[in-house]
Amino acid sequence: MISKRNIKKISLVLLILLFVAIFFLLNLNFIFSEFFTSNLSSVASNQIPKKYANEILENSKLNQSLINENEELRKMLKLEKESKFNLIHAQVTVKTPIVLSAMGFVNKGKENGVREGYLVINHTGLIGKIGKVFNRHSEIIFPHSPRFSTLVLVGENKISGIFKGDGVSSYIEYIPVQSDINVDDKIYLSDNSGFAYTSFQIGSVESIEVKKGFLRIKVKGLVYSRGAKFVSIVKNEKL
Amino acid sequence: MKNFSYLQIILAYLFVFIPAFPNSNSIDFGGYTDPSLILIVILLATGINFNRIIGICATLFFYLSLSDIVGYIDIFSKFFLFLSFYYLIEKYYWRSILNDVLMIFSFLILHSFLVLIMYKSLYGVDFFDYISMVIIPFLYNSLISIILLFMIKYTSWPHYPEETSQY
Repeated sequence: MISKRNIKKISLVLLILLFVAIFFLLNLNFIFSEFFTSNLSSVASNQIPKKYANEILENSKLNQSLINENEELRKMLKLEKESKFNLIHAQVTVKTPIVLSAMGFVNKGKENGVREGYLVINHTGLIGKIGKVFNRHSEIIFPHSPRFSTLVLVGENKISGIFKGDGVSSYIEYIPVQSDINVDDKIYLSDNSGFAYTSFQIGSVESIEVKKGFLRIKVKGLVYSRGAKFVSIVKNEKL
Repeated sequence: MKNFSYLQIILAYLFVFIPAFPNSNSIDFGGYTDPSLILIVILLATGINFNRIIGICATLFFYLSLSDIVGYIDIFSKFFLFLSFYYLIEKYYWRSILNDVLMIFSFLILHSFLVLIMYKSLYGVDFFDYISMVIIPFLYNSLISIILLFMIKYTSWPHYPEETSQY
């Protein structure tokens, strides 16, 4: 006979396991999404009459988190329409729990056309760059990682420099000392894929110092990359 | 040595695993806490045995699998400090509330200092950039560690033996 205390323990453990299972199912949706969507769509089209399906859709209330997610996705769609980028939309599925580490994973890979070196953005700014690419997922390197580097344009004269991380923060380096750059000048993405990048601002100049014969520019207004959930990968066929 | 209940062990597993997902802001305080660091200091304070060493190693290995070169530096620092503190605790440590709190603070400060030295030598990071980056995680880690220490080690629910009848 199981004692009351053991029944309590077992029910508590089952309850926690249930929550864990729900959490993992919701978070690992990049694995299960195709399976669920294919089954749900077949059920919806074959078994439920259209009349009831419409009623279900009309009566269902979205909670606040879904509304927020929708808002974020709308902004990403707007970004795609307004910019000239060719985007692959993705979701950040795993991020490294180590505070100083600058890495995450997204649910799009080789099968979706992602390649190493593609830039990753969202409607607020630059999130990072694609590192290793696997078949169904890819690694994102955040801008403060020492592995991150990309070309940027600074100021009204669009002076080019290398935007790179040092493990803790990000700087723009290799800009000639005689360049005309001031504090609060805007910083834009630049790459070898043409005009589209030059309209995308990632931050502005916070401070300027001279180091080893070049200007070293500290950037302000960067996005907190570790907090990003939905991102867009910029296709660049020249990479 | 303080023994953990089943519930505490399950919660410890969740505390280690869930921050790897982007929707876990309420558990890792927006990505500002490092569960592996908190786990190490709590286990150092409550007592170490073979199973707990295996648990720490598994946690560090799991975090390493989700990390890059920067993670290697961080995990090397944690492991080195864990071994050093384990040796010092076994040899010279007198367990008390004040000593436990001081041990937690000294572990976290030394970890930040060790990582700073390695970052400085490898990447030449600016000292003030580093301080501004780690100050909030340091505060969160130390506060959560101390709160958990008091919850686990120095307080407990009143425990009465079950009696079938009382006269």
